[in-house]
Amino acid sequence: MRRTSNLGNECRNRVWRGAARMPLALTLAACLAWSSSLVAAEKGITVSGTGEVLAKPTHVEIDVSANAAAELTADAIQKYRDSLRRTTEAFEKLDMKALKIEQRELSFASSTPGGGAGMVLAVPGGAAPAAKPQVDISRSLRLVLGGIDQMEEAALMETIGTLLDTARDAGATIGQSSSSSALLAQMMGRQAGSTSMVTFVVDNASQQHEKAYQQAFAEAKSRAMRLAKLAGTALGPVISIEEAADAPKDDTSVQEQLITTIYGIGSKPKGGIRLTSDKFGDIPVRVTLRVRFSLGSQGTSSSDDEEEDSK
Amino acid sequence: MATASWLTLAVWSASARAQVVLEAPAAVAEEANPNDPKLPFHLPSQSSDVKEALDDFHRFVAKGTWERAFKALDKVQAGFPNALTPREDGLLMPTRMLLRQALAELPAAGKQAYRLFHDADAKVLFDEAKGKEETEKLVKIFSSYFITTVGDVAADRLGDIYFEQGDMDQAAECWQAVLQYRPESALPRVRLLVKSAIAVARSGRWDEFAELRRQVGERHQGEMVVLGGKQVPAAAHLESIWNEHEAESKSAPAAEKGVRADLALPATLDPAWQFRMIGPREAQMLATLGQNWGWGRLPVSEMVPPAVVDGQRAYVNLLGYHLAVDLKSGKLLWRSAKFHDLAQKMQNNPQGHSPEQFNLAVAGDTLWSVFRDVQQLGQPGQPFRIGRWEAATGKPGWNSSTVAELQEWNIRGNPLPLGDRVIVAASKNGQGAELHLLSLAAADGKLLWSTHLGTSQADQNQMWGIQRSEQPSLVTYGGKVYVDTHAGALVAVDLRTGSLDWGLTYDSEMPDNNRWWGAPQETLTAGPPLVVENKLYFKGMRSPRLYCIDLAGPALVWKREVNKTSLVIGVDGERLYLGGADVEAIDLKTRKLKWSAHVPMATGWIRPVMTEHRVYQFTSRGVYELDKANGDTVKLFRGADLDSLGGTLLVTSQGLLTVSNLSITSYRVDGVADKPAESASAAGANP
Repeated sequence: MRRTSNLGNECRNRVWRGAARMPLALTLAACLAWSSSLVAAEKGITVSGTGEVLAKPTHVEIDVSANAAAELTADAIQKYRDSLRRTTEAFEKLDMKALKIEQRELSFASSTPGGGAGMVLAVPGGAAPAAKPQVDISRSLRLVLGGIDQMEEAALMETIGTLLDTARDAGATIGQSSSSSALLAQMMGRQAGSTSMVTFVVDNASQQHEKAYQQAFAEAKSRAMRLAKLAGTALGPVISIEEAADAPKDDTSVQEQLITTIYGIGSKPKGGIRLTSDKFGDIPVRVTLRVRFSLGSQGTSSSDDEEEDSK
Repeated sequence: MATASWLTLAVWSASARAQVVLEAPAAVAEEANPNDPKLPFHLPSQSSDVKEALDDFHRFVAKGTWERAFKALDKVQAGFPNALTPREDGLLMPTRMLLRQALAELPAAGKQAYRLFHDADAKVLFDEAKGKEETEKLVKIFSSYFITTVGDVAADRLGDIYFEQGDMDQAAECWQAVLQYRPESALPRVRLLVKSAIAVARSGRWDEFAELRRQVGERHQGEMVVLGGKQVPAAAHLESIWNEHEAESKSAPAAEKGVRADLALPATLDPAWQFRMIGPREAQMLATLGQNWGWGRLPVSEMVPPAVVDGQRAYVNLLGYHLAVDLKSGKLLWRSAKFHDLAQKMQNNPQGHSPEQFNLAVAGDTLWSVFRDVQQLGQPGQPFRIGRWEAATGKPGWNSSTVAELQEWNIRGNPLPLGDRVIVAASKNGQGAELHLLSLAAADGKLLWSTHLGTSQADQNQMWGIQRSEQPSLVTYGGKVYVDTHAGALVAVDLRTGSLDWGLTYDSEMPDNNRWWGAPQETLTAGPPLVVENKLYFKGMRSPRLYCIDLAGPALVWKREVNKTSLVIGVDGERLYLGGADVEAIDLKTRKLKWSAHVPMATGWIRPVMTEHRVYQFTSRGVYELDKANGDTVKLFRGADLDSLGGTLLVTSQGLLTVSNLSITSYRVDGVADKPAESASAAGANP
């Protein structure tokens, strides 16, 4: 009986010893793999490349709004209808074929005339006198003037001036919708600063981005090849690509974006790529890529690439 | 999305159609108590115990306890007869009128009881009504014993006395009281109707005349009356008066009928001339006055100086500097002092100017001004004066600082020259919340009468030039002067006696003397009341309500919500037109808003013009010419004053005059040559 138990113990001990050795083996194997990857990583290079394309704006957008405010809702509606009709008729009378008028959001709000309470400091009896609340109705319109890439600057300025004058003469408000303006006014006070009235837009934004990508990659590859040559090795295939491009712009102003970021209120970016600027001029499209190439004999050598380039 | 928006709008629209504009309220709780602390302006009202006595009277009448009712009435009669008591519709009437009405409305049993109590006293008074005491005794009978057996005869005689004295309104009141409250009177009804009709015709109340003429024509055709010792056919006599009036109306130029021909705005921007009051550099200084101190834009930065014209000259009151410019050439004819350093003086002392208190009127060869001495520019608390100048030469006449009994008065509002008198509002020095109306002799400034109009909740002298203070607007019609305090009350005052005829406290924001840093500055307009066909239309400076009062009653006909920045431009029979940030047309029958046109408004000192088919408003972007039919812009005339804020429009014998915060500019306009120039004396130059 004793001999059997001794044998069993020995078997168990072997099993336990084997099991104890397993993690060690695994660890060793992992270390070996990691070190080989390190060795492999050490064999690649990471470079960045920036592509910049200058895009000429193709159309200009001017946001206006037809507003109305009155204590009686019926009055507000009548005023709104008149305001919208006059505003759209005024632009239609200009007979500009390249001009389109887009009707956008309609808003209803309640307001107090006179600007509200203002900044009430600790002044005895400093409460603002009560005013009757009003109904505000506002329709946002977007004027889109196309074909500006074919226009001379002077002619464009005159045309934009005509549009702005027409809007003001018709009683429309130029600028962002009332909700955005109210938000800015509330958060930034009266010193909200000037806001742009005109937005220049590039139509074929995706094509411009594509070109910028190509440029960025080409630059990255060129740098990588130079480095590989210096290292005396061949440049291998692409291991990874990481984009560090500028965030796509939306329609909101910098101030509102800041407020939205900090306080989480205001309009969210609409998504999609739009190339816009509040200045008339070429709009830069910039893309930055970080590309990791492998090094070694597996890929094309730098001399092979030079031959290819010369062809 | 668009469909949803339109559905939403349709729902709103449907619900909005169900909205009803405010008609004349049967009982306006907040306006019924003239001493309500929530009211921004208090009219001089009857003492509370007299009001309670009147309420007791009504209560006892309802119960039929006549003795107690008449005892209560004795208390009412003991009170001040001209003090105002609120009526059900919100108007405040002199107690004497309400008393007369209350007696006249007694049931038959009550009247019988009243005669039992008071007939003897009335007869004694009637018998004593002779010689020098005749009027006084008759007035006592008319106000306190009207329903006694001698009341109707006393009223008739009193009416005759007033007629002979030229007080047509009072005469008509006496005769019409008999017609309305004493139908059982033995006096010939047709004679009372004819006399009333003649009185109202002479008072210019042609709407009422038409109604009386109709009654005579329908019910008393063929009857004769004795007038001036002669027997005349009643209906035919009134018909002849009406025909004469019609003939005069047709032959009068359109401007005199209150309907001006449309202006053909010039095709070119070049003016006939331009007189620059404030240079570009000075304009920039004025535009930013007070901004560094956090006061926002001060009234003085947006002010348009008051201006009036006659046939030859334009006159301006530039913060106390008076000047006259020739309408043909634009040449400066005279000035009271050099004003080249005005802007610098204002910058040295930005506050305390109260530009809204300066005013002008021209009547005949006299220029009237409400002003402060230029040596006191910007000194708060210094009183404003009224003075007269020779319009042609600028030679000064008297002013209230040189008249002993006027030195205690701080003059406010527009002066109203009326022949040998000038009417103006004022407060006593140191009592800026109390508003009075003064009648002064035009020749020497002698104070003829003064009437206390009421009390504002805020002392207007303590606005310190940081906010626009309330300056009354005066207009005259039918022997009365109507004063919109722009502080929440309108009063009617008898021109001859200065007595308060009636008043109304209207919906208006409470003014606030306090001012905090960065508080938004409001753009306010202050237009004068307008009387058209015996109806008075007005809107106070801080009020979001437009009111219509039938002067025949008087009675509040309707009130309506409007923009606070609106001011009344005119009425053309079917519609009423408002100016301001929104130029609007309101249908007079339905009170619906017919159209609205938004125009830029950079200053509240605007004075638009209405013609037969157009409305014109001078703005910072030019002169808008709007079609009265639909509000569409017919033309936007840029003009030669585009760096200004807009302002006043005046139609002159030479064309169109624009007066802005910077310049006076004249444009030749076809069709206005040799036509009467606009008179600004009735409405006041400072809008």
